[in-house]
Amino acid sequence: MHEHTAPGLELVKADDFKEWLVDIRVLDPNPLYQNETYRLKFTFSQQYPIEAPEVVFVRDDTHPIPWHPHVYSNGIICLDLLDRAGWTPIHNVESVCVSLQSMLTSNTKKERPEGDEHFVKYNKQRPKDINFVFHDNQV
Amino acid sequence: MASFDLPDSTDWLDTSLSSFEPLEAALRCQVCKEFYDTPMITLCSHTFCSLCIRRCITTDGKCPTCKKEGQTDKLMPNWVVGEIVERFVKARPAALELARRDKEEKKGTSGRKRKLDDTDLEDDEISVRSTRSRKTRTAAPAGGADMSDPIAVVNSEEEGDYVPEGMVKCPICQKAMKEEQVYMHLDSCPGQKGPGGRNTRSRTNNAFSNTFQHQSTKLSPSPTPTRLPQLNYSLLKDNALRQKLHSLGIPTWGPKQLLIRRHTEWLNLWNSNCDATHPKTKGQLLKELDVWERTQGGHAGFTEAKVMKKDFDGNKWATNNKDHFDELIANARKKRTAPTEGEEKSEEKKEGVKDAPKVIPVQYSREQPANPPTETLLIPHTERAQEPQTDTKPSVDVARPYEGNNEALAIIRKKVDEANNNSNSSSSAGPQLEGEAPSLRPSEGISNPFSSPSRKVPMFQVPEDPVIEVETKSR
Repeated sequence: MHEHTAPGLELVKADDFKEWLVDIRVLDPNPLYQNETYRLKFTFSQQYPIEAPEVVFVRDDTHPIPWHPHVYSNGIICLDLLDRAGWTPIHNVESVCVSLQSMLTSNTKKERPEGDEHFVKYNKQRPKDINFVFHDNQV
Repeated sequence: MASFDLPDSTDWLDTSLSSFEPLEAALRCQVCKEFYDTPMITLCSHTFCSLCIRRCITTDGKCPTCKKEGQTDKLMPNWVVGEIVERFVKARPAALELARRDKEEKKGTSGRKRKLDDTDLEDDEISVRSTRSRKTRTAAPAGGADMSDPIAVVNSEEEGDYVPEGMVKCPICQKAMKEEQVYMHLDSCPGQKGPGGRNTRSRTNNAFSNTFQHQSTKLSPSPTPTRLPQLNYSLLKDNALRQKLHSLGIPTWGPKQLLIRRHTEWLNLWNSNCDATHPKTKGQLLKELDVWERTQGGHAGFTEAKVMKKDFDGNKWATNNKDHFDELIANARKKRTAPTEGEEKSEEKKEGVKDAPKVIPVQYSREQPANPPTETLLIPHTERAQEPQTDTKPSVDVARPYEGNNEALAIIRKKVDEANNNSNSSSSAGPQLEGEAPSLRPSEGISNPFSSPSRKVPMFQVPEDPVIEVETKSR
């Protein structure tokens, strides 16, 4: 279905409607993300697209977790459009990826969210159960 | 279905008509990404499939595109879009094939293709390609193209579902006719039982009245064009809701939450079917509801479907709080020997509610502010659902994590014994039979909710000496 993806995106695994893997690159010359490819994992519920998919970065040998003040080091992303309130069913995998690309490329700070260490250590919730507070309108 | 060979707007990109990609994308619903099926326009002038927008509205009441609220029941059909989609879908295979061939010829790669001229192509290849089942997706609105033939054609098939191509069935009398005629016909439709009646086209009706009557007894009636109203679920008791579902002819099993979700889905299916120009029969709708039941409803096998909020992570909750549940069950079993049922129930309810805020702070770390009150509220229900032993109501479908789980049962039995032993050995605490045992176990690491002194008072306690009150009640 998504054979023709936007530039910088590559579908790695899309065998079913449960879990997809997508590699994304940031195309602009942002020094934070140059020459790196990040792997996103989409997990779809039966209610998709009425409900948002779960989208996290996954880390492996060749795919780091990108530095961003809204991306925790375990790959969980704090982005309003992935949240229950911010999601709308008209989004799709591609639009989410493009949003993430733009979120990364506009970032200049090589930092993690506040309280990252604590969160990564103690969070056992699924991303969609976490109540993020969306305060940053710069993204 | 061979792999993912689904028609998609990106099919155009490799052809010489790549500008058709955005055209086709514009003719697809943004929610389901299919061609519009019964397109409806919202108050904010956005268009979606009828079923898609109804599902969205019952989820959060907002327009998916612009998030404008208050959309309920203000949908209007968008006939023009429906017709454009229908025409486009019919023209698509031929156009796509031509555009593909054109591209390949320009590239000069003649190896893959036979040398055919265009007319040959239309004769065979296109007819093959058009057998894709996309016809069911297209909602054909009244086109106004061919109004010249008002004679109704009778559907002679034994299976009432079959309708000849280009024909639709009258939702009331099941008669097949051209779709343009349906609205005119509805004004004079004799209904199922009286084919003679007021019908101005009685010549056809008389001839086939036997067929109609035969069909109407055999088939479940197809939906009449009346939309079903929303219900205020919070005002309905379980049984009243069950009755509603029963009268609608849809399954009535399961706990209230499932009944509500099933009814909502049925409303969406039914009402969007009312919008359609080719209404399906009730039997077809029931099949669709059955699909829903297996994928998202009571047969989906999610425990999260059974608690108050549909996306609540029931498994996680159960594992995180297993100790707590075990504890509760152990206590409840122990208590069962002494107090009356009603006493036990009210006690349990009270504790369930009071426990909820105690558990939460343990779970949420600093970055995760406590859940909104709605989520907090469901906790007592979850706990009750996880406690089949103390749940005195015979609700059929609650999660029963302990049933057949010998390991868990063994733990509970151990705890029961433990609790019994403790209360026996320290019989000096004697008269406090009810619910106090956990406080006699200071050695256990778990902070026990029952140990809070405020909870020793039963729910409807008059401000007197609690010990005496409990005694008299339990006798």
